[in-house]
Amino acid sequence: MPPSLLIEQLLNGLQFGLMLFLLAAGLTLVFGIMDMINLAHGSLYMIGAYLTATFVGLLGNFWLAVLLAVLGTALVGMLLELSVLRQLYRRDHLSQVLATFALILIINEVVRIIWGSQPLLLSAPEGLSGPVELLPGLSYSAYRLTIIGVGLLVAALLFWLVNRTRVGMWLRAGASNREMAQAMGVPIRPLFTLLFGVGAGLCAVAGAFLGPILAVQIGMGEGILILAFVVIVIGGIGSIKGALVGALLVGTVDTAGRAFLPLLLSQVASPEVAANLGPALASILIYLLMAAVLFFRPQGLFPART
Amino acid sequence: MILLETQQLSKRFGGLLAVNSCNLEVRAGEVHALIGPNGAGKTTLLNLITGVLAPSKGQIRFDGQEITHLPAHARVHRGLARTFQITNLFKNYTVRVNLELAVQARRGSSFRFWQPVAKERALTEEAFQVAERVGLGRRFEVVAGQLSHGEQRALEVALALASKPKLLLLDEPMAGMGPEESARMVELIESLRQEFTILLVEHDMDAVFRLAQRISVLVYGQVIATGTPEEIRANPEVHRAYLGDEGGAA
Amino acid sequence: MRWPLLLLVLFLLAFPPIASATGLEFYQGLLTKIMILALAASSLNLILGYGGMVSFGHAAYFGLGAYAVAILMREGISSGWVIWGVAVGLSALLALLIGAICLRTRGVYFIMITLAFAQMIYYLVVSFKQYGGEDGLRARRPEFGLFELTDTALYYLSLAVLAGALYLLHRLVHSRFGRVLQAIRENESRALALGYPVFHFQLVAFVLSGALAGLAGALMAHYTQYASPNLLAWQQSGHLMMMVILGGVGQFWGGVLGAATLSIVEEVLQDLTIHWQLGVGLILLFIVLFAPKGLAGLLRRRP
Repeated sequence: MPPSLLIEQLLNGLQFGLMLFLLAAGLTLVFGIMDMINLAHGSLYMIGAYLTATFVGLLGNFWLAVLLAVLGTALVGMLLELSVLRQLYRRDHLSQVLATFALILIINEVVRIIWGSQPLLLSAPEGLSGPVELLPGLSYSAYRLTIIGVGLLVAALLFWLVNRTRVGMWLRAGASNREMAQAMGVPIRPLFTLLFGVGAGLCAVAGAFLGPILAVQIGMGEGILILAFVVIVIGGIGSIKGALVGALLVGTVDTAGRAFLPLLLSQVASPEVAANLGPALASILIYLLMAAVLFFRPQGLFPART
Repeated sequence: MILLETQQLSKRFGGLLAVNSCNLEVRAGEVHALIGPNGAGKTTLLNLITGVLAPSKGQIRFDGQEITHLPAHARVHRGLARTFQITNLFKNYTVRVNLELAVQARRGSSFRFWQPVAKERALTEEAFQVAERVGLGRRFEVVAGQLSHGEQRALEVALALASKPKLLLLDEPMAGMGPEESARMVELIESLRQEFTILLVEHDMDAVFRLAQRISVLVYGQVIATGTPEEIRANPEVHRAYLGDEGGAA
Repeated sequence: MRWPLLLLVLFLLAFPPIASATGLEFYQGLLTKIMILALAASSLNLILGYGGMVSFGHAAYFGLGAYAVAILMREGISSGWVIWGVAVGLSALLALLIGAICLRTRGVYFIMITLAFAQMIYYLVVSFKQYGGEDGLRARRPEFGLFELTDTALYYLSLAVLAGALYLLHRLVHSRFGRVLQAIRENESRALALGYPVFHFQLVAFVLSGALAGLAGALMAHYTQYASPNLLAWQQSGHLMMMVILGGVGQFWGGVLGAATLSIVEEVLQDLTIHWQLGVGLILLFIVLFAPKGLAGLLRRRP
């Protein structure tokens, strides 16, 4: 196997992992602080991608479109929190699952009504469509490289926000002990609304940048939502650090598994078996990873709650 | 005869050694009180004995056999029953159903899928006897969550009694009670001493010195003294470590 | 409850001849589907409602039952009884495996890990191209020896299976076992302190529930004559959960009521608009927010 292929796949894994992290970060904070399962988180990702595609169509500028889409999605997230999700904090997990499942159905249909059933076309900004040569003999998509850069930047920003600012301190206090945080006078309600806004904005970033690679279509948020859940369960619910580690782990394992597992299998098994089993194993690899992590560490790798 | 014995029992939570090489002996037939300041590890020790927590080190022997690694439910069947410091009942069920569940746990298999349990007279009868015993006979059909605090504590004891244990572990049965309710609880425990060996964890020193034949003092996860109430009262080490700051209660 | 129930059974028994006389065969099909879904939802209600185990992966057993039919028929095994045995047995085995691992976790982690296992099954099945991959697999109807499995026979068969399963579940939840299962849901640490091996009770219920869901899946494959990957998808798990909560969690008739209501509502909305899912979502949201005990709870509240 040539090393350039390996590096390329690792970069792909990093790129996918970082985008997963953007989704998982909001999810894990909501989960950790409010003990709330929000299945509709993936719908915000979808809305982010749709808004980006729309604004690109209107304005012709990818970066401006992303900015507007992030703000718009954050607004939608905060409105959702104020109208529906707020009612669910004190309810059991079952109700939360069901109510947010209902939100998925509703949002999917609203998107269908506004944008129609056909997938939208969202292409990478022009200057970034080609490859760049990283090392002699190793060229890599400029756009994917940009995603990695954006992902790292947003992740750094998020870590700064959580670890260095007052709002971040409140969030961490809330994640480790909600009652204590409330007793210490943390303004929980506005903080929750803001948190949903930030989480939604992060979803939009992921949606905007993955849109040109995957497809902008109805239901795009659901598969990736489950991956994001896998990430935060592996990382430990409520932990930003756990979300980052989990996301990179899942991104790399998933990408590498799909690229190399069929190859590896063909070394040891007949081509027919390898062609069948390879993709099958690759697609369940991350779930196996999650089951294994939970078996040995039922609270995930970095438990946030004491 | 020694009914319960812990040898070098330890439990570590991260950096904290909650129970530290603890040696405790409870003799058959006695009321044995376990006292100690807050945070001494009393509840952790009870959780180790009942199997809710697994020890980091050491052994637990009960009724002549080692039970260190026995699962919690199996220990109940060996004759270990407990009450909880914080009332722990089936709050939405009546006193009757609470007790029937306790009786059913002791009497044979619960993996019966067909016969309606509501028609099992024997369960109800025995449940009623236990209820009478703790003074809840007239509250038999009341939902547990609607009982007064004192009654809930009595039901808590009754649930443990229904399993007909050899050793009854009472974790602060007087917690949160007024003087009148406390007196009634003391009376109840008084009436049980003939029949059961009791390990009593309690902060109410009047009750402890009135009920216990022997007392063990737990400080920082270790038993620093065991003896009769008189011996414990006279023990200078106990005074220093424990009664020194709460001596007024004795 | 006795009289309405008797009337309902009589109505269901008499429906096919009436339907064929009046040209309402369509509704016979709808009823068949409702009865099958009612079986699946009731099986979920056993662990979700009575056992307090929020399993988000019930589609795995349901779908596996359907695929068992399709694959066995394709491989030339055509005895319905054998196929049912395999469908039920495999689902039970899968539930045993998944349950034994998942029941070590609690709360959110339990929800997520059951979901993860169901996803695993989904991707495994879909990746076998010789069994249809993402297109699904045709499932011809098997032979039952005593009768030919026509649409009407399937209707009565589903009715019989549903009635039998409900009778079994009714005995179960009122038995010693059922009482302990509910007690564990109410207060797990207390049940453990009374000496109940909590894990074993939960696992037995989990396996039983999986087996019944597998049987429902087999019937569904007979009904649609097709094993679709959608039956294994996580939306299917959500759909079944929707039925249970709509009907009433832990209410005996919750699964049946939920399956019937949701199927009828979907049918009506589909006639009205292509955006019928919007209506389903709004209704579900309304139920969760304002009627947390479901329809059975609403019915019961009336004097």
